[in-house]
Amino acid sequence: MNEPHSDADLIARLAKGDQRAMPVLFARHRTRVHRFVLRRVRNDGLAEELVNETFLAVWQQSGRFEGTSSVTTWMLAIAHNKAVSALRKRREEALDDGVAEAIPDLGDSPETSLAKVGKAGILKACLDRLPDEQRVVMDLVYYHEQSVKEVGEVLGIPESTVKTRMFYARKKLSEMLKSAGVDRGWP
Amino acid sequence: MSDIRAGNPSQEDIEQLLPWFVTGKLEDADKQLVESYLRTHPALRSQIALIEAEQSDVTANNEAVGAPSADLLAKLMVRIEGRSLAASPLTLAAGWMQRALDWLGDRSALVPVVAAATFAVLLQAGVIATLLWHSAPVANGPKSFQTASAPPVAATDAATYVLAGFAPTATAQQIEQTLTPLGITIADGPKAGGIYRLRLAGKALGEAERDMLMTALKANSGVVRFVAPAGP
Repeated sequence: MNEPHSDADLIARLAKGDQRAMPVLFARHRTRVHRFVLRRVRNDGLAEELVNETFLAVWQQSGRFEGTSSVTTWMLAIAHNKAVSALRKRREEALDDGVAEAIPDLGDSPETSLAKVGKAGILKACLDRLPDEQRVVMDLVYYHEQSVKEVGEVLGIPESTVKTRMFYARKKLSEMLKSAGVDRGWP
Repeated sequence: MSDIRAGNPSQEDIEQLLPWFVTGKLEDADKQLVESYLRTHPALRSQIALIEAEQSDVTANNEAVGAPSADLLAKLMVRIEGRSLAASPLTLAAGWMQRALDWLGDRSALVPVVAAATFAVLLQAGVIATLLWHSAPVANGPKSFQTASAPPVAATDAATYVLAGFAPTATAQQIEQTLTPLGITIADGPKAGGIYRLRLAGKALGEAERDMLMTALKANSGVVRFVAPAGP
């Protein structure tokens, strides 16, 4: 039996038609889901639409939640699928154009890049410039604190792929930092 | 189970597990594997500091993302309930205010004072009208509008109530957006100290259901100052 007010309990209530469980679930997870999708699509309006779509799907699919994964993982998987569908509809070039203004240009010489954002800001800027499929793994592991298995469930990829994708994301990060004048000594 | 547990793991095998070792999300067997490797290869510990820095900055980048709009929940609940809030009494109240200001016309000296008073009255009227509107029977047909001066909907003895206070900065619209999706209405107030009596449901709710709704109210800390159980 689920703990009262636990995520699983709220999903079970939704499945029984108790719509009052939704505001509680929404209040608990809206920020997480919003951050997850906004960092994927990088458009405020679209992100809010996807948050809405995600919670609507949670309500519609609540009867099919089996509890084999955590509610957070399940919701992030739904949000991921919504974001992927939305991204498919958009030209990637247009996305990148929008992003370029928000992130310091690291195409300058290392000295110029360092001067622009400072040593502390370089890592943050590089993290945001990682390719989407690598950045999303980093977000899931470091911010959403998902396990290897859970990241695999969210993204629909094998656990071995999760580990290698994270490994190469970290290597890519080191390369970007090096080209911006920061040598981390690894790899 | 991880494949690397079967044999001697390479350094790259261990490096691949380190991010989850740092976040504490490794299964016990993999965690022991990493700990054992680190004991014999202490140089690899330098990576842990790098990973901690990565986690710190990824977290900062995520937390820099703003919050979604305050009305997103209301929009979601409208979609879920398949009904529109377009005919909300607040919209009507805004119309009344416009008509009142139109009536003032060229009485320019009175406008600021009367407009402020009119706004305050209509703002409160909007809140009260909203609660009455949402209290009206909805079993058949669309919701009907009921003025504040009309006879109140009789509360059943079995209804569930809580006491609540709203943030001084909370607007009528924010209060409506917080209460409406939860099906909660204002039954009475404000009393001394700005305390309102909120009706959670027209029936006696179990403690778990009541606490769930109180939790939902408290989640809107920018609108709701406090919530406490109340008698019938």
